[in-house]
This record gives sequence, structure tokens and C-alpha cells, in this order.
Amino acid sequence: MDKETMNQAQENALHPQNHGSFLEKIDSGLNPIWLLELRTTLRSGRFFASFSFALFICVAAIVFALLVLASEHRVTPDQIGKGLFSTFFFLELFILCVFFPAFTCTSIISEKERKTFDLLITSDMKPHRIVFGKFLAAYTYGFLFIIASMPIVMIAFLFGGVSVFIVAFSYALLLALGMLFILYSLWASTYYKSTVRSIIGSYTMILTYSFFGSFPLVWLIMDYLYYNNLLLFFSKPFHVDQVMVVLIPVLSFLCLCILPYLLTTNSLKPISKNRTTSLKIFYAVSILTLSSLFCYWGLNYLNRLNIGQKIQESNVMFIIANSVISCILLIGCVGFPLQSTVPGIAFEKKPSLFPTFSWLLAPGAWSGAMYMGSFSLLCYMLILFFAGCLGFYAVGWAHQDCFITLPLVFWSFLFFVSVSCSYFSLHYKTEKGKWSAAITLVTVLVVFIPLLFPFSMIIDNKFQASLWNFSLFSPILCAISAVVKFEARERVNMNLFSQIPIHYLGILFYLLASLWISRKAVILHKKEILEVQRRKESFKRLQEKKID
Amino acid sequence: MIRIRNLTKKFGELYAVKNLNMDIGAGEIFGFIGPNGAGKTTTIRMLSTLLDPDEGTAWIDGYCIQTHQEEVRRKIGYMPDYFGVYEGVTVWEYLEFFARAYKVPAKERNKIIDGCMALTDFTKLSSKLVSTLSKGMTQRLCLAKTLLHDPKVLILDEPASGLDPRARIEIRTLLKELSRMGKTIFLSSHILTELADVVDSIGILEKGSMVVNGNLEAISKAISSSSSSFTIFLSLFQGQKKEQAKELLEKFPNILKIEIQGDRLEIQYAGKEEEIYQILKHLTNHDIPITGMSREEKNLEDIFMQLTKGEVS
Repeated sequence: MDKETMNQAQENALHPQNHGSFLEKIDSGLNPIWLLELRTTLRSGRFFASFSFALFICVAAIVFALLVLASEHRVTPDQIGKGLFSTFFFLELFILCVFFPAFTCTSIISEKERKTFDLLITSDMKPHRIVFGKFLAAYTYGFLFIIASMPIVMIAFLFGGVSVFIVAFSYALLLALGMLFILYSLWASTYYKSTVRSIIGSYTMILTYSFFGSFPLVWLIMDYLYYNNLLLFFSKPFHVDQVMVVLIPVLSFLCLCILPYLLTTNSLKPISKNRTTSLKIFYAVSILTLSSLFCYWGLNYLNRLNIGQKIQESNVMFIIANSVISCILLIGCVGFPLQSTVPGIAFEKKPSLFPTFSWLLAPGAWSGAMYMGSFSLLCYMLILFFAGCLGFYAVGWAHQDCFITLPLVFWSFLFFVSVSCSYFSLHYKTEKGKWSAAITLVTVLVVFIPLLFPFSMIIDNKFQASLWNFSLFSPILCAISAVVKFEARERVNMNLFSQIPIHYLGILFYLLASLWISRKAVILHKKEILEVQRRKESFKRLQEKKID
Repeated sequence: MIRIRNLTKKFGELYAVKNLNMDIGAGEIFGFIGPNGAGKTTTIRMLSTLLDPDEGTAWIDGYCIQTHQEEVRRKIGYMPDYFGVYEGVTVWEYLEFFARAYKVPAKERNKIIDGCMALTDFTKLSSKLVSTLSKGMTQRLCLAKTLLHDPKVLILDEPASGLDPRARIEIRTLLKELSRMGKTIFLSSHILTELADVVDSIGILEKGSMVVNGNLEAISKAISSSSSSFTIFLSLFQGQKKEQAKELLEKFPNILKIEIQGDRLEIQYAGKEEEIYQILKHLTNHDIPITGMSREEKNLEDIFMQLTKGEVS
């Protein structure tokens, strides 16, 4: 069959396209792995059998619990409702532990064993798209499993004692936990070299985690159910700021989810690109965070001996929260530019444009800063939402300046860090880029992070308004803050220029600095391009001479 | 289209591929030959961006396999030697999955899938489950999959292995058709007779190093001219006077060896090419009934056997 026949066949396509552009966009946006997995799994009898089995267990357990509870003497309908709901929650946790790892624990290794992995990797799909597709497919089945149990839990409503809030909250918890289990099973499927090992490893990991990690969750739900205090578990042992109570679990959860995702994506990358930069940064930052924290704590303890200052648990928790968020942010604003170094495709195509508009292409930094900026704003809104839902308002959080100016200060700072990282990664590029990550990280920690410090401010003498102030994260500033009296940091307008709106200066400073650095990076890159061209030409000349 | 320079891959202390250099032009069918363990699949995996070279590099359509892996993947259609298929999906769904994976625009996707199915004769089997296809059909399906994103280069690792004669002929016809469509085909195979009919040029690999590389005819001629002797076959009418002919030729200069093979004589001649007619003249002068004379041609198998020692890296 020749080319014309093929064209003819294309013309006589059996499935003509009549979709509008909007539908086409949706169609193009669908993850192919997700679609394929849904097709293959939902058609299989195994899925139908396991789904029916899970529902049967739920129904059987609820009926059994109902019979047991109803047979007890002097039991109120409220107690029956609460009892049924508790049974349901335990049962769902069990289903989560048993069924969720099964969705993903072999998903990557089975591709390798089935010999379809090479076809997948050589297609035009990036590793993160493959991982996301696998995750999405597994999460869809999981979502079906959990949501399908909703009519069963509604039985508890007939007896009372259970509010809509606790049902919604427990479903949110289960879905979040399911996400975590799926991500860890997915990682197990890339880590182990055989299906059997992957299944064993995955279940061992999830069951161990469930054994230790499910207690706080059950405790949390029971607290609310029987004592009407959702925060009792978290607030009692620590006596911390109530906002932190929400902040810390949410951030810890995000950190826990990011780690297996990064590990899985990295393992799918070809070896030359599998530098695991983001992971190295993740580990490095975690270690530095802990050491900084201990350093701060230790120095503060020594300081207390001298000045008589008390250690406040709330401050320690604040530092932990700061450090965790800093850790996530640094992964983005350092990791992204390091992995995709200076100028992208646009620069390669028309380098002549960039002396004038070099900042437009802030080398690799846009992705870092935009991603992290969006992430930080999302976190900010999430915290506000949670805090608002629970009726807690930190003083100063709803302040106009906090809402508009501070995210801008923060975003411009991130942008500045990302641009600088790109520049360093280019400037210190060694044979395999080993040192660029280390140099950049040290520079960020020692030089850049203190730069945010002068532009932060305190509102209402209560809450430090720059939400993700890096100041306590830098080892140098830890040392400084240990020497400087702790109370000094809580004064209103604690900055170098207390009479002027210092945060606007901050935005201007960071943007100008970013512009200057990105311009330097572009010039440096141009030099490199010229050097490569020169080498190519000399190599060509050498070849021609040889041929002659 | 494909340029390879000093490509080297080591597994521990063992060189799987060592200083490989070659150029393959656009629209060419290149046959990559070598004994088992010579480093063919390693080279193909490096070209397909699945393995990183330790030294040297290669460019496909101007893109480096190390620095521009995504661009290279868009330019190539890769078919491994062993591959599996997804169970529970139909032929059309399988191709649709890869079309989506290659980001074929939604508007064009169905037409392209149907075109590829027509080219590989799958139109009538579009709703058949992939898991029920035979080995030959699966090979063709994989070939259809490699064509979805209209790659300039096809890298096929043993595409005809394990196929029955009919399926082999179908694959061979398909490859010729693809070559006519302007695709550059990089093909590895053990079945040398199959390759000989299809390839424009060959590269013979042994112990990870290139033994010979270039146009098939040119290599054949070069080998023939480099050898000190060649074989001539003389056919005699019904085998008459073959003993007499043998005796006559034994006294003829530059003849190293004569053997009677049925109705013909096999002569090992070490003289000049332009003096072969003297043999005929000598025999016809003695009334030997010669009906034909032919010279042994080097085919791909002969070249392969002559140039390789059967050693693995």
C-alpha cells in the first residue's frame, strides 16, 4: 500500500471529528495512561469482584454492628448512630489498607515485566505524566470504592448523633489517606525489581504506617464524635497556637505526598537526567532544617541561661511550620531552575531578542517561581479557609497588607531566588553539575534567605506577617536570633526602616535584582553558545583535512 | 539522518559497544548485523534514548541523543525485539493510546490511526482484542504504533524474528513501502537472507566494534577484489567429457583446485580476471561441450561469515 492509499484511507476515516474546540481541548488534556488503565481495569472481572466484596463487607459489618448495639440495654439512638459510624470508619480504614495498595503496587513493575515499559518511555510522555496517569487511575478506583459506601453510612443518620460535618470530614480524611497509600505503593512498584517483592514491600509499608498512623486519625474522629472537640488530640499535648494545629498536619501531609511522587518520577527518568536533584535538595533541606532547629533550640537554651528567657513551645512549633514550608518551597525554586537550566526553547530560536527583554526569559526561573508562588498562595488560602471554617483567626492574617502585599513580597523573593539559582547552575556548571546544586543551596541558605529578613514586618505585635519568613531557616540568622533578645523580634515594624513601607521596597529590590541576574545569565549563555559553535567549526575543519 | 560518533557503552569492565562510528542517509534502509552478544541491541537502545552512552554520542535528524532526548523521541519510531501488549484493549484502542501518548492532535487522531491501520492491514481487525492477536499480527501492530506520530526514523530491533514465512514477507513488503514513503529505517536482524533483499547498506558488528560498514554491493566487490582467488563454475552438456575437462585444466596455470559436482566443474582460480576467457578457449579447442559459465557472487551470508569470527563482546 503506497502513500496515496494511506492518505485515501485517512480521508475515509471511520471516525470523523465533529467535536468543537472546547471538547477537543478536554480530549487532548486527558491523560492517556489514565484512560488506558480505566479501560483495562474496569473491563476486568477482578475489579467487579473486589468492588462487590468490599461493599458486601461494609453492609455485613454495619448490619452486625446494628444488631449488637440494638441488643444492648439502655442504649440511646444517639449512641447507636455513633457506634455505627465508628464501625464504618474502622471498616473504611481496613478497606483502604487492603484494597488501595493493590491498585498501584504493581503498576510500573508490571509494565517492565510485560515488556511494555520501553514503548511507554520512548513515547512522547514525560515521567511525571506517566506517574500522574497511574496515580489518577488508581485514585479513581479508590474514589469509587469510598464513595460507593456513602449510602451505607447514611444508615447512621437514621439514629442521630452524627453530623454532616463529621461525615464530610471523615471522608476527606479517608481520601487524603488513600492518596498517600497510592503514592507509596506506586513508589514501591518502581523500587522493587519483581512483582512479588513489590506487593510484599508495598503492603508492609502501608500496614506498618496504618498501624502507627491510624491511631491519631481514629482518636481525632472519636474526640469529635464523643467530646465534640475535633482538636483535642492535637491541642492538648502541645498547647500551641490553634492555627498551627491545622497548619502542621496539612503541611506534613503535603511533604509526605511529595516525597514518593518525586522518588517515583525520578526513577522513570533516563539515567543522564536522573540526577535526583529535587530529591537531593529535599533531603538536604530536611537535614538542614532539623539541624537549624536544633541549633536554634540549643542556642536559645544557652541564651535563656544568660538572659533568663523561656522556651515557648508555640515558637518551636512555629519554626517547624516555617521550616516545612521553606523546605517545600526550596525544592521548587532551587530544583526547577537546576533541572532546566538557562534559556529555554524561545531563547534558542531567537537569541537576538533577548539582550533587550532578557528578563522575560528569566532562565528556568519562571517555572520555579510560578509553581512555587502558586503553591504558596494555595497553602495560604487553604490555611485561611481551614482556620476560618474552624472559627480561628490569627491576629493580622485578615489585614489588607497581608492579603495583597505580603504574597507579592514573597513571590518577588521566590522569583529572585529562582533566577539566581539558574545563574549559579550555569556559572558553576561542572562536568555532571555535581557542585552547582550544592553551591546554589549554600548561597540560598547563607546569602539569599537573610535578604528576606529586612523586608518582613510584624503586625499587631502578635503574628509575624510574612507568612513564610525564611529568617529562622538560615543557620546564620538562627545564630543571630539566638544572641539578639527574643522579645526584640516581636516589636511592631521591626525592620531597618521603620517609618517607610519597607515591603514595597522589598518587591522593587527583588525584581530589579532578578532582572540584573537574568541578564547576566543570558549573556553567559550566549558566550557558551558561541564557544560551542567555535568548537564545532574547528572539528569540521579537522574532519575535512582528514578526508583530503 | 543518523550520525554516530565514538559511541561507547561499558557494562562494568566489559565493552558492549566500542567506538562506533557511522552515518546513515535520509530514506536509507540500514541493516545492522552481528552475532548474538555483538552489541546490536545495546546500540539500538542508546539510539532510542533508553540507555546512556559512556562515551561519544549520536545525532538523529540533528538532535543529540543525550542532550535532546525528547526531540529524538519525537523523531524516532522504536520497535524493540521483545515487547508485550496491554490486555483488555482492542487494536483501535491500543493505537489510540499511543496516539494520545505522542500528542497527536485530537482533530487528526482518528484519521491517522485509521491510516496506519490501513497501511498495516488492520482495518478489519480494529475491534479485535490485542491479546488475541498472533505473533506476526502483534509485530505488525507494533509497527503501526511506531508510525502514528509520523517519525522520520524507524528503529526496528529484529522485526522479523519468530515469524512464519508469510509474516516475514509481509513485514519485508511493508518495510519497502515505508522506505518509499521516505522513512529512514535502522534495522537489525539475524536472518541475513531477509535483510539482503531489503537493505541499501549494512553494518557488521562484532565484539562491540564495527567490522565493516557501507553499501552492500560495494562491500561485496571489495571483498571479492581483496581475495587472491575466486571460484568459477563450468556447466557441461549432460556432464559429458567432465573427466577429460578436469585433466585438461589440471595442467592449466593458476588453477588451484578442480572438483566435479554433478554436471559441472567447480574451479578455484588464482589468475587475473581478464584472463578467464583463456580457460574457455582452451576447453573449446578440445571440443568440451560447455553450456554455461558463472562466477560465485558474495551474498550477505558469505560476507558475514568471512568478516566475523563468531566472538561475542
